[in-house]
Amino acid sequence: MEVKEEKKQSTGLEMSRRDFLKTSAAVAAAAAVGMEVPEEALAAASNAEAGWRWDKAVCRFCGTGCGIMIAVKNDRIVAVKGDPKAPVNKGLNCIKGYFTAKIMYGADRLTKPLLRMNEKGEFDKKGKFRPVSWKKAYEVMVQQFKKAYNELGPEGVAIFGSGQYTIMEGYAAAKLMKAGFRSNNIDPNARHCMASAVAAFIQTYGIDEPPGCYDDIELTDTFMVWGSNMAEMHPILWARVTDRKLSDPDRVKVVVLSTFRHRTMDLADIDIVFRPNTDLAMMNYIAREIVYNHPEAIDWDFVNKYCVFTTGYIDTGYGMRNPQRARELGYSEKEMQTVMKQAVKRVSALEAPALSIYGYKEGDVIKMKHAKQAGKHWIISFEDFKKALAPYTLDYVARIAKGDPDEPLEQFKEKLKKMAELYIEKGRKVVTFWTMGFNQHTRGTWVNEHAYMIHHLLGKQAQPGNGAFSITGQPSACGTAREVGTFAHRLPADMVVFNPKHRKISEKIWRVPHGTINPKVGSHIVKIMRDLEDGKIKFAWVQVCNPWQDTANANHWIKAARKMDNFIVVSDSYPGISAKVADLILPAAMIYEKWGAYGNAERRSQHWRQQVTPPGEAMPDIFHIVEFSKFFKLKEVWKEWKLSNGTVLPNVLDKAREMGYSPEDTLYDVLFSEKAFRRTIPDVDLSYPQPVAKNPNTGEIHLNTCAVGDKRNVIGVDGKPWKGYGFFIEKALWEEYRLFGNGHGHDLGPFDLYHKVRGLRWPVVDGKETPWRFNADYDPYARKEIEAGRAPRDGKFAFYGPALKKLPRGNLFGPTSKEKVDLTNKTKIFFRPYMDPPEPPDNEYPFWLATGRVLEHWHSGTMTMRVPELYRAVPEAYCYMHPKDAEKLGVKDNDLVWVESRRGKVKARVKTRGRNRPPRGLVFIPWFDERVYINKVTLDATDPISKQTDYKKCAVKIYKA
Amino acid sequence: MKALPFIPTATIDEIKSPTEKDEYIIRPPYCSEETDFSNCTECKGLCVEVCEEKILFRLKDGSPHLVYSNRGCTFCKKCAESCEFDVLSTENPERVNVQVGIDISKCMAWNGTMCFSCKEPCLDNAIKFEGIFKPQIVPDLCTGCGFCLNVCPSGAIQVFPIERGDNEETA
Repeated sequence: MEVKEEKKQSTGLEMSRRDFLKTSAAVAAAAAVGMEVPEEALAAASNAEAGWRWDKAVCRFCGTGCGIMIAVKNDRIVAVKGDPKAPVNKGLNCIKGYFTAKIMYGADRLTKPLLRMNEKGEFDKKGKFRPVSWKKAYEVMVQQFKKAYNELGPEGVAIFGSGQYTIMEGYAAAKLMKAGFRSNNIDPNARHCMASAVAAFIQTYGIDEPPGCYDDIELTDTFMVWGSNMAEMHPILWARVTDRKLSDPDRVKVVVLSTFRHRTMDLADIDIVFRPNTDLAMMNYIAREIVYNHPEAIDWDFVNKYCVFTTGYIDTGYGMRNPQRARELGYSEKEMQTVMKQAVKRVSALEAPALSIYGYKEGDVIKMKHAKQAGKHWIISFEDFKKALAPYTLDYVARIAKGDPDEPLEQFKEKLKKMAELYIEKGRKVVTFWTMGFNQHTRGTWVNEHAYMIHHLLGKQAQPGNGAFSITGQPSACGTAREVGTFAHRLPADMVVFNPKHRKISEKIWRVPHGTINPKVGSHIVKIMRDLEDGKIKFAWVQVCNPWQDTANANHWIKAARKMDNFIVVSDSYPGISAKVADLILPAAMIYEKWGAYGNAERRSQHWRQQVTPPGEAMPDIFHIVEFSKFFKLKEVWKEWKLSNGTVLPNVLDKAREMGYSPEDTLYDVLFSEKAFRRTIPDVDLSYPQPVAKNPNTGEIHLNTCAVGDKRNVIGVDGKPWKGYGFFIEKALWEEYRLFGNGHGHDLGPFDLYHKVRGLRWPVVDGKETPWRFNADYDPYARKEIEAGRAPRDGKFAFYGPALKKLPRGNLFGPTSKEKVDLTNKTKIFFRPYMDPPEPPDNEYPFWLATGRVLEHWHSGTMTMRVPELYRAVPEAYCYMHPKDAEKLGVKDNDLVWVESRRGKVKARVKTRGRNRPPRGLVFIPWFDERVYINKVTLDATDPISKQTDYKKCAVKIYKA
Repeated sequence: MKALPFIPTATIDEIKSPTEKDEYIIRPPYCSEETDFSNCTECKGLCVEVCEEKILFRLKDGSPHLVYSNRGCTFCKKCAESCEFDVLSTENPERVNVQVGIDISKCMAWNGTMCFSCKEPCLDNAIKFEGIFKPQIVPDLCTGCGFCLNVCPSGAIQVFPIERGDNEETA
């Protein structure tokens, strides 16, 4: 393609590789925080480093999981560099990683608890924030919690959790909620980020997280990048992709698909700009090409041995509020236009051919009858699968999927064909990458499953260089949110609260009475907001996230926080929007001010030591959580509770007594005290300090604020100077947490091991990590299944994930038998159709709005916007727009426009020639900037299976401000 | 070659007029080496007034000079169009007569850190990356607009005067 040649020149790809990665890694600069120190200067003047204590750590930002080295002098971080020993980034860094320590030194760090109070010094919802002691803060917080808890029971309280919790923090929070308060209302911001990926992993494999790993990058021939701007969002992975591409530019092909042009497309051999939501149709086009036109490409051996064909319901709604309830709450007529589709929608011209297999035609009404059974699926025949793919011809798919109105249709068709050919080509290794484009999608689980569908048909999965790989957004979305299970329905190690066996296992490990854990799935993160608006939740605690900035349709939730009778606590390090709408703010220690561990997208768990003392009276989140547990006696929480759906949580106090607990014991005594850990992990040395606390270079003992306190002697919640728990609580939490996964395919290594290596990819069996799962060449669990004869002996795979492996048979419309087929060690090939999103543009709101991130800023910007260099690089969120659209609206670059949806409006500055170049009819606005509060505009529609919000699609109008 | 000063907006008032005689003066676009600024003494300084970006200032002799601040030149032509003495003219090149360079010891992308902050504001695609690292400014494409200066997180982009020798090379 002509266009291609031109672009290559402009990005400098015509140059030879010149070992740029190697050279760059060699010169990786050790840069002082806040000032630039070139490598030469450092090497020459090693004296300058005198007194610097270096130690390994992990980057605070994205899910890549880069290793960094941190230098500390006089209790302050003075330098950060990429860790040359880290297998993930090999010494490289991105601009955020380079400044990762500087986030801790913003001028307005929160250093004292702040409570809304009246003149008399009493808590007052309408009062102003005033500093209070930890003691006063916890008095009020406990009182408010008990008020909500006693009135509404375990369903009346909630925690907004995070994919940025350390693993130990997330585990402590989940344990307190599930085993202590018997509430499942804990859900992380990872719901907004990874839930669709999780749902698809569980539905397809029966176990969460990718089979492959980052090593695939160097081993593959083809990168298919769907809905992911890796160049900005996962820059170090992109550096590795670029390196691979430049090392063999003719063989290695890069295909990038997005609804707008971005930096990742610079490297692409094929760039596809598509109409939002039609990724579903393009995937089915590829499958149709395979099944109808290249049946020889189907790996029948793989498919017959390991796969079944499956499908599910389509009339499942869009995860919006019940329209009737929305009306009662006074949602506007405009809002109702979209919300109505939760109950009923009309088949559009675009989707009519796709839905013809169900007997629908344009204009027909679909009643959303299976919104509550969205995740249900059943086995279908290959013939049904083939029949369902019939409508997805090149002509149809190209017609609906072409996203750039200025691109010739023939050229677009040519690109689709070439992409399909690359997938299909025998002997060509293919990796499919995706992130939020797939996950933040009202049919996100479906499109994730589509990726596995293609790879399974071709037998290109779970092998080095071959595989569909879901890249993670947050640093510990995998490690904490998913593996620990800080979700409304989960328990650690992929277990779920609604499974009695799983509850029993968890209760046994936690040494709490049988029947303690609540079997009813709690409220997911969007529902926690809706419950606040409904008055069903009256106490909410925000931990390591900023839900009032990151939840779509924000106007409602601000009102719910400020106008309703409830109490919002925010543990944070900077005053973001959530802190501002809260009633109590607790100052939190930041990443290197505590011991911790994160788990990245390739299942790699990485630990770090506490490097410096937190500022002011800021304390680690573990302290926030564990101190709270001291205020609750068993008799207050383990009594009988009646839930809103009639479920009765039994009184377990008698059983508790039999286990040696007294009703007067506190939750701290039972869940978090040294005595409690002595019961669960009797053989682990929990003293502090111990050898692992020694710095490997200097021998100096690292700080541990939680274990032994620190030089500040912060006055704690009991009014006494904080001296620590007296034992190594982070290690205790890790070792106890490990009990859940060991022997079940989630094995983690002992705490100390992770301080000798640069992370390990689970399952870690006999001290060895597993790069490719389900593949007997690499995965001991797969070997075991094959050796036991539970998976085909003449093959090398075993898809041993246990969940959802008993399914009925059926056809495209539903299950036809009650009898269930056993799918042990098998995986699935899903058929899922194309459907429109709930709010496409129309005459009144003619633009698509997609939101996302930029390289320089992390999430809601509370940290990176406080680093002057990052602020300077991107000081505000722009409205990226096509120049012709700007012309039509009569606006120029940098002019302010109003961006208005049915729900709200914000002002933003127009960029027509920035890093993102949308086609006509679409605008892109990043969400990091609280002054451009774009989530007032976005739609809170979610995937009905995963409950993940679709931040990429709603309709807006734009006019000059 | 000594880099020219990059001046944040905050201090612009203090340097509206360079005092040292030998200091290199950055002239507005739309002029050439031969441009004669002597008529400027007669003028009210219209070009300075119409500048939307507020980056033009007057020297003691009344002639205009350019100070890069948080922003840069958008080449809106207004300075040239407002000129009543044909000192500035749209017939002259649409570029600022300076050379912009990257200090590779300061540039993060030359030191193993992925950063491309300078690339976004460069509408002329004058900053070339080798893959994703080692950016260089292509003199032929660079118009000297200056928008890249302030976004650089490490202050690695600098402005140099164009000397005669350089002029031949880059012409």
